[in-house]
Amino acid sequence: MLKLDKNKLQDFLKAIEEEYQIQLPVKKADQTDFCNFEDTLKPNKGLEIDLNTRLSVKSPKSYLFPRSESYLEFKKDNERLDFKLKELTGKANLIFGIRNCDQESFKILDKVFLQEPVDQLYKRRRNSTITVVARCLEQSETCFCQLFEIEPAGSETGADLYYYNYNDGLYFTAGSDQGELILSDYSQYFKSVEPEIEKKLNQEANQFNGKITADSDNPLMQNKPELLYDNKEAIFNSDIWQELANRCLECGICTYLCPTCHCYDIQDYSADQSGERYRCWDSCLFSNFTEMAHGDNPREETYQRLRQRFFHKLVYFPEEQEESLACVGCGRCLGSCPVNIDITEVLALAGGVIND
Amino acid sequence: MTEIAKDPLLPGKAIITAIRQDTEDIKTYQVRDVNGGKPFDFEPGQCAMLSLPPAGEAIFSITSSPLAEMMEFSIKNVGRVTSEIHNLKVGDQIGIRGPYGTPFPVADFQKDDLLFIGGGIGLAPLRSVINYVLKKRDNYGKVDIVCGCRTCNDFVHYEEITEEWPQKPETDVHLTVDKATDDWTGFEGYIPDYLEELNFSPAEKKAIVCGPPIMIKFVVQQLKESGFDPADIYTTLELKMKCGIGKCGRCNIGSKYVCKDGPVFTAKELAGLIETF
Ligand SMILES: Cc1cc2nc3c(=O)[nH]c(=O)nc-3n(C[C@H](O)[C@H](O)[C@H](O)COP(=O)(O)OP(=O)(O)OC[C@H]3O[C@@H](n4cnc5c(N)ncnc54)[C@H](O)[C@@H]3O)c2cc1C
Ligand code: SF4
Ligand code: SF4
Ligand code: FES
Repeated sequence: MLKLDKNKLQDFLKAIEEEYQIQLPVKKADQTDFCNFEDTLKPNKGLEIDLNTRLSVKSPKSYLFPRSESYLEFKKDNERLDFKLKELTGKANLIFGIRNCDQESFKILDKVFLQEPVDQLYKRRRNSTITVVARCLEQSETCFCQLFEIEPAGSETGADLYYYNYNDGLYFTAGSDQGELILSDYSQYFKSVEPEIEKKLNQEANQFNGKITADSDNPLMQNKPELLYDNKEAIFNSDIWQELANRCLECGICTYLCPTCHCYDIQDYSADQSGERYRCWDSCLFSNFTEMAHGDNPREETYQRLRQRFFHKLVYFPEEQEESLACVGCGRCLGSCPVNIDITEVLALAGGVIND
Repeated sequence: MTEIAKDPLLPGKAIITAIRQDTEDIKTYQVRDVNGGKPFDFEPGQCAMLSLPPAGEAIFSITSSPLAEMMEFSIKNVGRVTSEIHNLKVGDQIGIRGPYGTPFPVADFQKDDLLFIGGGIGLAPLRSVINYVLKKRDNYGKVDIVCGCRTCNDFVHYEEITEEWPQKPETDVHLTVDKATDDWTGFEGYIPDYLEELNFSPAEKKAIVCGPPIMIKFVVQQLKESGFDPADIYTTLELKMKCGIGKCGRCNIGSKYVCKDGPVFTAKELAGLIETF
């Protein structure tokens, strides 16, 4: 374990900026989101690095799977047509201060994009992204990552670096060779750590990681995702979907902010005879998502689309991907839905349906 | 560089080498790689994503046999991409990527009698299997082909259906139209009614059905009633598609993606799926 004094953080980041494009949580007008480190150095922007807020409003999935990504250039010349894949330029991304739920969400995206046939657009970003996880030693009201067997205080591997934010320092350990390399290449910024502190932090982390869900004071942790899976037929046909759909505005914000939602659309953009093809996030809650020629639509009603969103995460994805649930309990959909529909409400209702 | 070249979303280039107007709104396109030959290998029932920027991409069944030296697509003009395709001329280039989806298991069909039932443009994927089977005629039993369309002007590959196929050994073609004109000598009526009249025995037979959803529904129901095992009835599903590779999240039925786990399914598989939209 190595300590970086908080008052050296900026110098350290400036130094590694030579190698990486750094993204980190930044507070602006009371909202915390990932931003370019560069921008925080501009005094007139009013941006402040925020290492304390646990949940950024937007998830960092956009660094692996951008909201909109132009990937192909095309050119038409009479009958001739040419396609060229756009190259990824620039430095590797380093995402600093991401929480372990978001880190784990990358594994879910990996299952989708890195399974055959491998999505090279995703893979090249994934391979050039370094992550530095801020270990959580406390939960927010809207957190329930442990319900999905995610360890909030971080595991040993997955991210390249992990740190505890404790008193006046950040206490780092490496989770990969790449992380190891950063610690040794920039060793001038780090100090050794007294054994008692290291022991104390690790103990706290172990305790927090191991906290069994039912013991938690957090009511969200009382839910049982496996109930929905085990009783999928009854819940598929239950009335809860219609009830939820009566409220849903189909704004899609839940799918955009969710770190594991990965649906996309493909469109062309053109200026005359040349142009670009891009893909952009799409949402299964939009009525035109599955609408076909002659107006046929297998999910015509809002309740069917809402059910699709939750069934995909809690039933279909696990069926397809060796029982892995596609929710990390980050709680973004809880906080952002204008009519308070969220996955925990669905889990609670589903539990209720079964207990009736 | 080589890694980038393999991106599944990057289309290859193909050239249109022949066009035939089949019906008022359906044309059949012959397509070759810009360097000659088929753009890629595939199996009967698989699809390709055709690309026509700036209109976009759309998915189509490959209607030619995998044994042919080129590829053919029968394309109905319904929207943005398809209307642009209908404006193309011989010699124009298009983008193509694939093959996508699971094929019809032609190896499992060996020795069996085969009953093909196609409605309208639904004949497109069946034609790939039919021409494959007829080329390897000795490996298969009796072949019956039932085709139905709205009128006799709506058949795609009309000459092949009426002139070539019936000439093959142990091969019968049965045609029906919803509405007959005076010179029509075939059956008049919907496919399920015609099937009832034809009354095929299910023994040692595989049925392969493709057409509009409502036709598939009635035909499959009828085949089951006349004793076909749902595991011996093959059909294809059509959902809106974008990526073709199980990632854009659009074409799922339950935990299956039609673009990669389908479009070919048996009626037995569908029975467990169809309620899970
Ligand atoms: C597995 C499969 C095989 C197919 N094989 C053939 C074939 O051999 N020949 C043929 O003519 N057509 C085939 N289709 C249908 C074809 O893909 C659509 O007609 C085409 O995508 C419409 O594109 P468009 O841009 O012209 O229409 P658009 O302008 O995009 O759309 C017109 C309407 O069609 C809807 N639509 C868009 N994409 C699809 C889609 N993939 N399927 C259905 N509706 C869609 C739109 O929502 C809109 O309502 C197949 C579809 C699938 C899924
Ligand atoms: S469904 Fe909600 S809680 Fe789960 S990962 Fe998505 S936004 Fe977070
Ligand atoms: S955020 Fe809420 S209202 Fe908006 S689409 Fe999602 S569930 Fe519906
Ligand atoms: S077309 Fe994208 S998942 Fe099937």
